Amino acid sequence: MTFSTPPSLDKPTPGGPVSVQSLDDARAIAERIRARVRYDVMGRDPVIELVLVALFGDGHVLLEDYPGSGKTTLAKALGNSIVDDHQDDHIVDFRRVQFTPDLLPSDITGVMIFDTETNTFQFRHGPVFAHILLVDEINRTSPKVQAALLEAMAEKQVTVDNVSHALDDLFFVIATQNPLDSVGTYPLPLAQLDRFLFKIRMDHVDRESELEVLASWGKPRQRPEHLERVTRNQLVQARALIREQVVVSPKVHECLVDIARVIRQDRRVTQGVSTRSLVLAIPALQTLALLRGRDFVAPEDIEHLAVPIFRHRLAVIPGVDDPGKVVSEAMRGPLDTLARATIR
Amino acid sequence: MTTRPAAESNGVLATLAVIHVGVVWLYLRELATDAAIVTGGLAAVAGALLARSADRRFLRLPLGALLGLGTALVAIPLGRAVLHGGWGPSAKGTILIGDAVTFGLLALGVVFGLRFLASRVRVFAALEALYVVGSVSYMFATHRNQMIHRPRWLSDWAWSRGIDPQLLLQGFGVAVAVLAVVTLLRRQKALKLALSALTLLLVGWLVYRGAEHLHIEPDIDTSGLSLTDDQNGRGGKGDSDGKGDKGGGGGQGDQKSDGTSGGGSGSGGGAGPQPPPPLPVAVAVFHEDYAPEGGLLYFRQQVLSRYDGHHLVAADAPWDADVLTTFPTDATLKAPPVQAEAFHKRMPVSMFLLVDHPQPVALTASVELAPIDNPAPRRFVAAYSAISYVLAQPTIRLVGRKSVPADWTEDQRRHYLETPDDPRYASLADEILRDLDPRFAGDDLMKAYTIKQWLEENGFYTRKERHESADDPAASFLFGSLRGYCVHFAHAAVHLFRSQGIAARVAIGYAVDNRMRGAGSTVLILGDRAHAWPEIHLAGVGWVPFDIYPEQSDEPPPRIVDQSLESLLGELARDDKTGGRAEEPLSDPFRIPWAVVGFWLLLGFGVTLALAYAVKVGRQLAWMAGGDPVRAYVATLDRFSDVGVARRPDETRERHAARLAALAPSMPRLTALHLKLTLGAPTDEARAEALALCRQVRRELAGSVGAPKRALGWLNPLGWWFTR
Repeated sequence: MTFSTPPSLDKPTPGGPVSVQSLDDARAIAERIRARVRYDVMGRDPVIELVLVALFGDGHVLLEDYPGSGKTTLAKALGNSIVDDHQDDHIVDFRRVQFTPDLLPSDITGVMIFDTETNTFQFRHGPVFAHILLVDEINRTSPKVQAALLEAMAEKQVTVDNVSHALDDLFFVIATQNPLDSVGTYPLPLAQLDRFLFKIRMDHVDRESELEVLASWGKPRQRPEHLERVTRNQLVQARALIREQVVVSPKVHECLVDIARVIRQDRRVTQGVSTRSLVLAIPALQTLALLRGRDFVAPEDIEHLAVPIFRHRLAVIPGVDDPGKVVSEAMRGPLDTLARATIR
Repeated sequence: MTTRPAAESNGVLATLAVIHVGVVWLYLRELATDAAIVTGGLAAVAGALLARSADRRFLRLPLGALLGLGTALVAIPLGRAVLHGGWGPSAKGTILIGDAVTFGLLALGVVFGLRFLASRVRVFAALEALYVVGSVSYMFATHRNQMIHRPRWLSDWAWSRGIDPQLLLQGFGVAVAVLAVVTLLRRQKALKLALSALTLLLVGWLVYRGAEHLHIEPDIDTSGLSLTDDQNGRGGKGDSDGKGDKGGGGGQGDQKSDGTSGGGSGSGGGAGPQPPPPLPVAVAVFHEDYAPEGGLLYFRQQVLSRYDGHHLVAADAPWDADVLTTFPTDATLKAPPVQAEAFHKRMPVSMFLLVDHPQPVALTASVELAPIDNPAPRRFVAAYSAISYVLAQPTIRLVGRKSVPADWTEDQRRHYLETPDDPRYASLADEILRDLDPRFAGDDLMKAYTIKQWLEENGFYTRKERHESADDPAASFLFGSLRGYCVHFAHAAVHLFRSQGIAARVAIGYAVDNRMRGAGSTVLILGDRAHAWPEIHLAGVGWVPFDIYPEQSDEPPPRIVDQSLESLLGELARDDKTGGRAEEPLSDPFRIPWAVVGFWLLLGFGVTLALAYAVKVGRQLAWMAGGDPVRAYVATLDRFSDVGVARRPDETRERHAARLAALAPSMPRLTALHLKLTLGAPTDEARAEALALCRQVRRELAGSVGAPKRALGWLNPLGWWFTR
């Protein structure tokens, strides 16, 4: 199935219980989010696409960028696009945490508090109990806090006082870090970077977009209420649908495994990519295929996502500046093989 | 759409300019003055620079080609105009300026045109490469067969190590050609590059072979290895004719003039104070070991058996049918079975004549002649292989046989026993045989031995007495001074034998002392080894050489053959792959059989081409037959590959399709469908649409690609190879 134009969902109420039936619906959901985020964040279409891929692919992203480049705006716009249709739980749409060196794990997970009225300990939910969590400057806090967050990311649960509290299915972390100002930071080890689906490097926006930003600043900007929001349930359903229905050919699996093997054999690489990264790559590829209007994963999806998925998981020997280059070189052969496999 | 290569970097441009200067030098080296070569070189550089500039300014392709061609075409009339107009300051100046204008403009036009085309359209790089390779082939073509031994320091060095300098030079040429091809075509993929280089080398080789017919090298025959006509007269063969009226002059047409000059002047061989060295006339290559009885190898050319009332001459058919007197041209010649196989050994010998002979020369007694390839046509005038019957046992062991067999006809008997009408022969023979042991009185061979012995004891070998003026030189010799040379001895012996009822005849040819030749299977026959000797017939055995060896002689001992010459000619002669009846090891491990290699290369090339076309057509047919959308897509891709827009290895299908959208707008859609069919969930609608789109894409392609390029695409045998 392919799509020529993005279909419009004419479902009436954004918060209502609308079920997602087909890939067309799933794509409409994604396009709605994309439209809203693009309204707020200008000149960042490639980043928005990757973030959407991570959101629907059940991954997390690490944005690496200079201060004031619109990371928070992006995360907030994303959070704003989702309506929580489970009002009765403790989970909110969007939370932002600024990581500082003196932060403690309980500051983000929550803490047991003695309630004098009931004489019991009550769990006070921390900021991780949100659909979208923006973690600013993740490398400024101690490894202890980082580890607590990473548990939440990997397991979708937090453990406080030996009691595990489940997070929502739609738990999506956008972490940021500054690539240059690294004095007094705790750089994330590879093992923890591995939990992020993407590490996205954001470059400065182009001239036109920057001019547009300046032109629109300060003016009362109309909220994008004309652009519909999506519900949390719709998003989760769309995720499941994408997993199920977007076809991933065994040839694509082969290509991925071959890329991983080529990377591991590269002399410049001291630590290759993990099997987990390959597992994480599948839903991401499926999502991108959907966003590109396909119901199957094509070589161009791999070409597009291989670098952001694998780049931050590599340890390379000194003197190699850009692991991304290693990845793009490594994927050439397997992609060629995949292309040849289609005409055999 | 043409594939436009990226612009040259400065370094590459400099390299190309240097190559073009070298090419101009190679082409003009033999043709033009130094001034013209320098101008041509400068013009080549200018042409390369102009071509780049034109390319950067997006000069239209036909215009650029026309400009180059026009400049080259105008060069020759303009140069002539300068010459005839006398525009220079002096006559010499005019010539120099005219030359420079001609070749300068020529180089400018050619280099500009080629460079421009090559930098605009990738295909034309092949044309440029051809031009470069052609120059190298052209130069080295003149080095074939050791024609040019320059540079001498190189050829001398190689000769002294036993390496053929031709190979070195050819290797050097091939290296230069490959380098040039690689430089010119460097943007291609490795496989394509290798194929192009191979093709171009093949073309270069064909040019090299083709240049044989344009040869400008001097002919080796003048170099002194062979005889010219007046030298021939001093050769030994002149002796047989020297007597004019008695020798076998009738048979040796081409030596007739020598005979009269040698005989008429009366100056015998060896008369001069410093006789010139004898000249080689033939080379014999033995395929088996052979040490002749008596140490002499007899190479017979002709026999004289008919007595015409004055002397012995060559008999017409059917006489002497056992002596083969015609050269084998396309089939093996076989002599009638006169020589009995039981008493002889078969001896295969290859003969290579350096000088024209009217009859084939071969080791006596040759019973079979077969043509063989001439390994060095410039040196050998004829080449053939012979099977010769040589006696398997000493002649003396044949004692007890009659000479004339009982089954000879009266005519035969008369022919081989006819003697001059001179009773002195018979009486002298009777006198000689008076002392013969009575036990052997009836034995023809013993009688012959006795006569031979008498002649050897009493004859005196000298070339100073020629008995030219005598009516019967044999009689003049035999009953006179008994001083003479081989012809006199042979004739006298034959007459004596015949008078005793022994069938005999005179054989003419060469006798080479087996001990005088060098080691190895080659025998070099020199002109001064010419000889005449008697042959006698033995019933049941055949004709047996029965030479007289005079005990007294005033001849200097024969020269020892120049062994290096002998082995050199032997090397050349032994190049016969087909002629040797026995296996010969390749004498020169460096020698490459170019003709064979070329044949197989061409054959391989042809087969490859045929296979390539078969695959090409097959892939197109597979689509039409099956209706399989994947096959159809492959066939469509082949169409694109044919016109040079195959997918690059680092391109995904989608990117490739996007690139092809300029030629066929439906291609991206078709590719998306194709990927869905192969990587996604195929549906029937998608299949049908893909098939329809394949047709659509081919129509679009036909519409957007010009007819000439499409025709070239159809001809391209290897387009499918690049489909990936």
